[in-house]
Amino acid sequence: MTALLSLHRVGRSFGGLRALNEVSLEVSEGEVVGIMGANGAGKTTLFSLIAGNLRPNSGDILLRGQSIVGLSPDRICRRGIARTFQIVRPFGGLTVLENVTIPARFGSARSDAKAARAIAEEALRMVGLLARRDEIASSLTLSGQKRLELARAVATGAHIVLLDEVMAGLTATEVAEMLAIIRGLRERHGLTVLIIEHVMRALMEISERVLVLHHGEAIAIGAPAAVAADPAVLACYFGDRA
Amino acid sequence: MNVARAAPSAALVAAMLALPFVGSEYAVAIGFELLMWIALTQSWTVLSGMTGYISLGHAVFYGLGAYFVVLTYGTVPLWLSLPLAGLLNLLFATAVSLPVLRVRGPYFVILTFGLSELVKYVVLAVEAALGEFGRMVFGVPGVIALYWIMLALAVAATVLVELVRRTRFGQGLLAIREEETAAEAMGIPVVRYKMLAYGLSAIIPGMVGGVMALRTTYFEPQAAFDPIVSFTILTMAIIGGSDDARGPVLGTAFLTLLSELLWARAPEIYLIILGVALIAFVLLLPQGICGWLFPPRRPAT
Repeated sequence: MTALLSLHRVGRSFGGLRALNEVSLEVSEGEVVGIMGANGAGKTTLFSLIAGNLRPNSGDILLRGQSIVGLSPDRICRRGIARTFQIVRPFGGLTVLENVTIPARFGSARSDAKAARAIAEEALRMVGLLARRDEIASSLTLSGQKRLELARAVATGAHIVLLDEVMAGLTATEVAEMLAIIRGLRERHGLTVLIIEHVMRALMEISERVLVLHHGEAIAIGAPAAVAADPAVLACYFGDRA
Repeated sequence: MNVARAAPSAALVAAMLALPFVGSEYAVAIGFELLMWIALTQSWTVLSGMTGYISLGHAVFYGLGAYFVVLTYGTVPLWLSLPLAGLLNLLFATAVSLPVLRVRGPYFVILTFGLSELVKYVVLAVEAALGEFGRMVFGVPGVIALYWIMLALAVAATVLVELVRRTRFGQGLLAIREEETAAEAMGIPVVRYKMLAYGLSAIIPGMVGGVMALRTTYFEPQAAFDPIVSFTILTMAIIGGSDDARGPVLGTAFLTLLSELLWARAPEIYLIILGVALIAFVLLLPQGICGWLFPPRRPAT
């Protein structure tokens, strides 16, 4: 079975700085892969490479065996990969509903106006924002805006979603709610999820596998428990005890 | 909502249709001016109102259209040369859009302004090299005939804005205005959409320029590419509001009629009054007359 999404020795530098160095990853259909690492480890760069916001300097990224390197972000979205942004990017002046209707009309779903509305309402219901659909998006709380990001990614009709710190800055209760929302969406739409998260407990809880990045290198990948016990990972996070 | 909105538009078009039959020569001249600015400002809205890329260089399309129609006058019939002037602008805008649309915000404003000035000086140089210092046009259609053409252009520009606003394309443009990176991440082909908006916004100004050259029976680059045209379009859009096709109509009417009144009664200070009015609008009515008269129907939080 070929992987749904594969990264082959992907590298990216900014000037002299190697943000990512030969990172490889195979993600199969329906999997939840967590990505962890300190600030500057290259997590968001990895997402930007997959989503087409950045082009890798080396390596290849394959979706169902076909390279997607060099495609523009909108083409990649229409192929079924949607991302959220760490710093939320709502269509601030539009309503919550309009914010989700637009991706339903333009993403891989490419629905007509009526169907898009139905998709948008369903996505808003899943993330618990349906009651706020007529509010202006910029008036939502941070938690609300993070959920809006999630609803927009799902509404594109994507089968792979890249979630960039959708829980950062949320309270413990909100984190628990967000985890439930992601699980619900995954079940309902059979999503494959790549998730970057600093909230370690949440990441370990939701991921089936975890990739650890350190200074642009993939230093560990595997089941959460195994990764958490990996000496290389421990050395990175707690310093070398030797 | 449709009847409530269609009725005033129909009444306005009917009034403009009746004007040449009932109005004085002066009234027709004012009506002509109004229609010209409506056509220009509505076209500008397709790009700048919808995507938030503020063009301060729409005079370039006006000037190129005027130049083309004057050059071909007498050889190409008007019914053909006017649409060709529109087409020429569509091609020109599409050709320059790729570099121009790479920048946003204030950089885009400056770049569009610079482009317009650049083309003006190129045309000046070409004309000087040809030994031409202003071209006269002879045997032009009468004022009333040109009035009908301008009315058609104003209606066409208004219909264009309304159509674009209702389509998927229009929704995509709005998303680009609100958050371009997010728009792109959601599958909106931002580059293609911006190019198309730029091209569409250039067509009618080109035709307007052609009609104006015939109205003034004279072509001179400094006047045809006058940056005042670009500034006035922007001013009218700000005063009227550009979130709604009614905005440019209201802004145009307000500014044109106010200038006429002031120019006749207070010629020494009329520009000062206009300047103060513009500042007052930006400060007090940032959504324009239209946004103030018809606030967007949105429930409060």
